[in-house]
Amino acid sequence: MLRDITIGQYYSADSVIHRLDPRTKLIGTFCFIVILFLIKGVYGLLIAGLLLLLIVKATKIPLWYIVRGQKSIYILLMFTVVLNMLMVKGDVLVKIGFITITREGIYTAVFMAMRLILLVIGCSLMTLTTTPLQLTDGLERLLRPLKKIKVPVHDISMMMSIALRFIPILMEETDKIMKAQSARGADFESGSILQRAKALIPVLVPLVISAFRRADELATAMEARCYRGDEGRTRMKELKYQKRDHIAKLVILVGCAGLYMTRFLPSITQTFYAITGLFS
Amino acid sequence: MPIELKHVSYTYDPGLPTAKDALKDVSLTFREKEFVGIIGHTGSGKSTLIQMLNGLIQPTEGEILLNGESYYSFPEGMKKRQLKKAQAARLKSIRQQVGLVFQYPEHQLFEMTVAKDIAFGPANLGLPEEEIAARVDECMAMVGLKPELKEKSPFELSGGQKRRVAIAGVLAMKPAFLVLDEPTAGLDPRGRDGILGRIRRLQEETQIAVILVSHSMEDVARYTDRIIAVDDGRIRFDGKPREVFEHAQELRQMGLGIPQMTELGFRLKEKGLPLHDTILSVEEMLQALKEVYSC
Repeated sequence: MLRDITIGQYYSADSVIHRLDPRTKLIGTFCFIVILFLIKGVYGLLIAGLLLLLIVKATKIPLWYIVRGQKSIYILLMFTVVLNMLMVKGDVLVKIGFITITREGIYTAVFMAMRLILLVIGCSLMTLTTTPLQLTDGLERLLRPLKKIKVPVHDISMMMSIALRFIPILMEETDKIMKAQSARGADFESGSILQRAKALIPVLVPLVISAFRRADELATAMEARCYRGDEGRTRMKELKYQKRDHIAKLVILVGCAGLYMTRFLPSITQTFYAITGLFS
Repeated sequence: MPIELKHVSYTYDPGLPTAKDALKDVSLTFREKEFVGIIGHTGSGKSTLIQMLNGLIQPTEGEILLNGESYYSFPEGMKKRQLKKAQAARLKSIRQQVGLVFQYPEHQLFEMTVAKDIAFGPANLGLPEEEIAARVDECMAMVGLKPELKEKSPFELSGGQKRRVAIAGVLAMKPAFLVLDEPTAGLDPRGRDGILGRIRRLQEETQIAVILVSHSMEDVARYTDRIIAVDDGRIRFDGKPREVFEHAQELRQMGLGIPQMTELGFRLKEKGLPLHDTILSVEEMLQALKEVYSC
C-alpha cells in the first residue's frame, strides 16, 4: 500500500540524465520552475510539457511509474481545479443553483492544473534521477557562497540527506508495523474517519519510538567514525562538470529562452473563446 | 484444519526493474498439531511464505486454503460491496486462526501497560471484557511472565520480557497455528532456550500447531518434528529433521548448514566409527558413542 509513493525516491537506471552532474540538474529544475511561472498561455505550457516528455524519455524511466507516484497530488489537483472553476468570475457558461461556471474559470482551472502537474513531474524527475547523496552534495556545492554570511550550509545539507535517506526506511518500517498490527486483527481500512485515525495509534507509537532509536544509533555511528561537521572534511568524489553538463546547460538556456518567448505567441484565450463561443 | 498452498507464486514489484520472484510454484500442507521448522538463507522467500499464511500477502498465482476454504476466492455473482465485506471477515477469521509473530515483535508494542497490549488482539476480535481479561492472565502464564508485570509499561521491561509480551499478544487470539519468524533473534542463549522451551511445552500441552522460522540448525533439529528447507523461492526439502539433515552437501550449497553434532557424526563415520543413524543432538551423540564403545 505504501509502495506506490515515489516522491523523493531514486529510480535506478543508466541514462544521460542520471549521469549529469547534480548541480546541472538542480539549476535546470530551478530554471524550469521559474519559467513555469513566467509562461502566460496554455500554448507555452503545452510546449513545456512536450519538452518535459522528451526529458522523461531520455531518463529511461517509464512514464506510468512517474504518473503513478504522483497519486497523492491528485487530491490537491482536484481542489485547485474545482475551486478555480467555481470562484473565478467572468462570462457565465453554466448556472445551476448557486454554482456558476465561467469561461475564465475553466480556462484558469485548466491552466493551473497543467502548471501544477508540470511542476510536480519536473521536480520528481530530479529526485528520481539523482541519489539523495548526490543531490545534497550538489546543493551544498551550489550554496557554498552563502557560507560567507554564516549560513551553516554543510549542516543543512547533511540534515537534508539524512532526512531523504530515512524516507524509504521509515516507509518500510511503517509497512512492517502495519502488517504486524494487522496480524493482531487491527483494521485500517474500514470505519469512520475518527475510528481510522484511532486505528493509527498502534502504528504511530512504535514508528516514533523506532525513529528515535534509529536516530540515536545513527548519531553514535557517525561519532564512531569521527564525524565532526564541515571543518577539514574532504570528499571521495569531488563534483566536476563534464562536457555533457555544459551541453545540458546550453540546452537549459535555450529551452528557457524559448519558453519565455511563448509569452509573445497569440493568446490562447482567443482560440478558447472562439471554441466555447460555439456552444453558448 | 490444515493450511494448504497450491501452486503458489509471488512476485514483488511486477513490471519494474526491481521485480523479484519471491516464491515459485510452491505446494505445501501444514497439518494440525505439528511443530514445523522452516529454514532458508536470507532472501530465500521464507518471510513471504509465512506472511502469506496469515493473509498479509496475496499470492500472485495459485491458491491458499485454510480448512478447505480459500483465502481469496468467493462464490461468483457476489456484489462488489458484499465481496469486500466477506473478504474482510474472512481475513479476520484467518488472522485469528493463524497467529503470526514477526521478527523483533517487541517493536510493535505500543500500549501503556503490558495487559493492555496483550489485550489488543482479542479486543480487535470483539470479545467481551471478562474473556479478554481471562485470556491476558492465561497467556502471560503461558509465556512465563509474572502477574505483577501486568500494570507495568512494556517499555520498562527487558528485551526478553518484551518479546514474551509480544508473543502473548498473539497467543491471546487463541490461534490454531502459531507462526514465529525467528523468535530468538538477538536474544542471549538463556533467553533463547527459555522462549523455545516454553513454545515446545505449549505445543505439547495445547496441541497448537507451531511453524518456526529459524537460522539455527540446532534449534530446528532440537524442537521440530518436520523441516521445510526453502531455497530461491522453492521448497527443496520437506521431511523429518533426520532425513533433511542427511543432505549435508545440498544444505551447505543453499547457504545453510547442519547441526554441529550431525557434522561431527558424519566426520566420525568417515574415520570409520560404526555410527548407524544421523545424529542431531549432544544427547544422541553421547548415546551413540556409548553403544559403540559399549560402556
